[in-house]
Amino acid sequence: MDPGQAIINLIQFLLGGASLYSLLDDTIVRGLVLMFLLYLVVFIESILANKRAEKRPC
Amino acid sequence: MLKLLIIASVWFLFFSAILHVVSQQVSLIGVYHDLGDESFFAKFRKILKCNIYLSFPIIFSFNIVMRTTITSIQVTDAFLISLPITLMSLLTVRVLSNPSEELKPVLCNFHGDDQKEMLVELHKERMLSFIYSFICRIPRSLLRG
Repeated sequence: MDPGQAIINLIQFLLGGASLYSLLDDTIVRGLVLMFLLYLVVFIESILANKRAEKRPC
Repeated sequence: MLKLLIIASVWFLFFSAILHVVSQQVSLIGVYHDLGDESFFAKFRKILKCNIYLSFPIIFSFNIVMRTTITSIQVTDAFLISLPITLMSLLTVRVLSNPSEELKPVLCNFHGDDQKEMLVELHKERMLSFIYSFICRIPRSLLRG
């Protein structure tokens, strides 16, 4: 796994963990925002994956 | 006015990201593929990742529904109860989306073998459409809650 992917995975893990933890902490709105941010990171990751696939020779 | 513009642009960013990611993950639910040269653990990791991404909105949804409809429930209890419900919901959808011989649509009994595959494909599409619309409905429920 390359370092960039590892950092993205770590960010996703932290956002997901914090989002779930906020449910226990009774702060739903913060949890929702963190969940949305998590999906935004996954969205950016999929865009980057598509870019990498375009550059790869067939 | 500036605040409204900021809210609109942030929501546009979040909502397009959510729709895209959820759509990508849901499309994987109805797919079974042979391992080929892929290792079992690689496939297991992909399935786990897909289920984790789909779990978040469902956990939030069940959690908020429980906390708003049951007044006496504790925050921790609502969280713990929403975990197995989400797990079983996703498992049920996955099993129903890939029907076995016993779970195949009843319509298959009234058609020949040549049309059975098409009917099963339609059934899969219906199940995936259901879960996609269910998950996309959740943000609206959350905003109302």
